Amino acid sequence: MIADRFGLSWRGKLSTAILANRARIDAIELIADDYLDAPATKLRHFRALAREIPLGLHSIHLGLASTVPVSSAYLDRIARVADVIDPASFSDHLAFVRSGDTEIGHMHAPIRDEATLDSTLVNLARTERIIGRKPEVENIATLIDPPGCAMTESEWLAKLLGRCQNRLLLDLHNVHANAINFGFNAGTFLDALPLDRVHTVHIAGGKWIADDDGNRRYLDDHLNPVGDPTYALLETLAAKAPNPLTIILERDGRYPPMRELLDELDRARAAVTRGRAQRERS
Amino acid sequence: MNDPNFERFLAKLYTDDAFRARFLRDPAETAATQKLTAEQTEALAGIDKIGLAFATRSFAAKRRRRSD
Repeated sequence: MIADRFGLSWRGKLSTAILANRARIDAIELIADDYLDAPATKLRHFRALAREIPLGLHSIHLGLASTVPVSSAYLDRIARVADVIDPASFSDHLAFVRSGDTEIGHMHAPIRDEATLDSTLVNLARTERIIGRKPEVENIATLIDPPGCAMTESEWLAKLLGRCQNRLLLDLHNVHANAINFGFNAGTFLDALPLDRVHTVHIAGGKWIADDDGNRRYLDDHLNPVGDPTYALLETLAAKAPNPLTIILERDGRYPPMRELLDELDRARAAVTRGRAQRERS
Repeated sequence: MNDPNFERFLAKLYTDDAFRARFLRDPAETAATQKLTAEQTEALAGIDKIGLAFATRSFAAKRRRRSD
């Protein structure tokens, strides 16, 4: 039987409830960028926590999928956090987030071509060298079909992973959001990826947004409950992925009572159980 | 195709309202002023304008939240 784990992203407003419900939470994920200036005493608190429960350190601002080198100064600051906490894993996104002094404000989907692929590989190697850990790389959601792409998202991801040994942090809600915004089949997308490289999974919720002309896009906002399509994708993944998975529920605001988040984790457990049963039958 | 200059252009497109308005009026002329390649200029001519508007609003909201 595969020992999958189910956990939550650590947020200050959830911390007390997370600690009070450890029996139903197998893992946590901490945003490194929130603790760059934290005193060592606070980081040591997380180190102690990481010895009790698998803790993934996750960052959001490296800008790995860019033709611009990742900032050494920023990597040094992340490395300080990682060195003290000694997390079970480290991850960031396949995104471009800045150019020079211009911060876009969030993650922009990579320009999916060979040039970005080559520079992403350089950035991954540099990140590993400075942080001392091979980063897991996460697929991102996007509201815009990035201009100048020579490959589909799954083609680009598969090609990148074929040229490095990094694990894929598979965000299933991002897959769902991109699939409905840009008209591809999420299940086919999963089939195109090396699922033996997936050890960590993100699930989250989102909502539809519209403009004055009635155009709509689906936004990955982390403010809503996980939807049925994402649980269905999780079941599909569990039927195909060979490794134990750590499934992290991401929630960034409008926090419901903890029992509702725990119920979402239970629905994730049920989806994975169904998927694993399919895997055993096949 | 992609290079630091193209990413610089995109970052400006997402964060500078006046630059974006100029681009939407005349993508080719705006691309020429930033010394983009012909291939990059062609890619921008076909940009997902609906997505650009949604993404720009989303990025701006994130920047505001981070500065609060």
